[in-house]
Amino acid sequence: MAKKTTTKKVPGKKGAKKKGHVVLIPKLTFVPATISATDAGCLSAEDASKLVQSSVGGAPHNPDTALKQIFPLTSARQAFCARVKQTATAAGCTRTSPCTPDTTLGEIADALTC
Amino acid sequence: MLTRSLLGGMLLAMLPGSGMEAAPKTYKIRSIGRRPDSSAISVNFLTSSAPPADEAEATENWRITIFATNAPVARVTGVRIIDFQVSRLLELTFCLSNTDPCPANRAVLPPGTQAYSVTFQSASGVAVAPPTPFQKPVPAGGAAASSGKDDSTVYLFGGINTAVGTKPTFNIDAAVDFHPTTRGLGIKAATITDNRKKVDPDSFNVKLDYVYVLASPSAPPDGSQIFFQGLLLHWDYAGVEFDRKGKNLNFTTVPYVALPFTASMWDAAGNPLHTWNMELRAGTEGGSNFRNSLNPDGYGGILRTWAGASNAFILRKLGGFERITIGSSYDIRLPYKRELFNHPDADGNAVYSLSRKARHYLTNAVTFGINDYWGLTVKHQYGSLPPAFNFTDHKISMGLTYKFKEK
Repeated sequence: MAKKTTTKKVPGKKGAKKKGHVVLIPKLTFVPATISATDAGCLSAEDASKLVQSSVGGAPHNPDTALKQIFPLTSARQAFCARVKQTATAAGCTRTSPCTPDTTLGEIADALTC
Repeated sequence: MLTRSLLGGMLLAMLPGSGMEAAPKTYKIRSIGRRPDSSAISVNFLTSSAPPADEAEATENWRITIFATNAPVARVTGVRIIDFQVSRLLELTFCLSNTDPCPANRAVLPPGTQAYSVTFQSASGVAVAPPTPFQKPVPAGGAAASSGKDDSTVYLFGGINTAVGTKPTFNIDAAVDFHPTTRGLGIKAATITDNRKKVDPDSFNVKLDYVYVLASPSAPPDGSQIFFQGLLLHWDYAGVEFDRKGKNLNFTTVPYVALPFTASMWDAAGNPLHTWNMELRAGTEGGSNFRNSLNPDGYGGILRTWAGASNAFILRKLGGFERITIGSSYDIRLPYKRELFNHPDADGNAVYSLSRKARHYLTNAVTFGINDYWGLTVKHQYGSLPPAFNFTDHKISMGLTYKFKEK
């Protein structure tokens, strides 16, 4: 006569709650925003700041950050400045902004501001 | 017990009126500006030195001073927070009359205003913006520090090579890259040379170039950092390549595309901590060889496929250095017809031949930034450069680097 094999149930294995505790952490979220130039062809300080910050992307950046600090290669800086110009033009802004390695993000925003 | 007494004493000292309040902080205003079409003056604090938002929002904490003949007193009527969390930006509205509401035309700066300034004073600290001219001054030119050869207007590296039992040798690596506008025309010049005549790179080039940005993608929908910066078309439309003695001379025209990639780590105050940039490039070098070391009449038309990559890391505040820059660059040239190549023999004597073999050129450099302008550089070179393609077999140099850019 063959022996019956039995399997023991491991208590709490199925459907058991995982260990852990929920805490609140800060999370930065991005939402779409429309920026548009005034009739004078320039942006409000708020819109100009949004434009420059979003052209870098990521977390909020210090307006005193110089372009050479984040774009040491010339082609990367040129592409960034082209993006700023392209976005500003699409928003109706006719102002030009500086793009030297020492130009800061704040100076670019200032140049686009009325 | 003692600990509890100490803590109690510290808490008491921090209470108002205890006579031991903390000294008021000095906040820093980055800039103030005025909209010509409104009564508002915008105020931008430094991200790392701004008062709490509730204090900045309080109208009574602000004063505006106008510098003019018979200057009127400006009364701040409101504070509008524009973007205080991200860019520390707000706007002050003001009135040049004591009557409420502010009469029309009494909320613009009067004719004859030479300058204006803004003062902030709250319970926690003060901030003073220096008088700002009524007309915004045009930024003056000047020199500023750069981070490497690739982004310098002028880059100069002087190196010394030493080995046991040999005489020290010297080399120079210099570049000028001037582009008055982001897009459009510019001029580039570069030299890599050594005082040894037999085995080292001996390459000069001067080029007129044109840059056009074909694409520059916007931020991804989740708002994260932009990794791929875009696609750029470069055309070095007229250039000459030559060596020290002028035995080798090429005219070249070089169209190529460049794809830059970037990523940065940021600290809590929004300052870049570490930065990485990479550029991939590919194109064609075409032109004519007017003369070379084997044939003074030259071999005529030249055509090469050219591809390369540059990589740059900037690590900040590391190991006692202001900045450590690690840069690498690699280029490969594949000639369509046989071109001059100098692979020296064991004694270092030049051995010229004509071949279609691939020409590699690799440089690696680590610069320890002493300050914004000067750095100590250790550099590695391998390969060959046009026009003579003198082959260098793994050379290590150390030297001082000086960099600056136009502002």
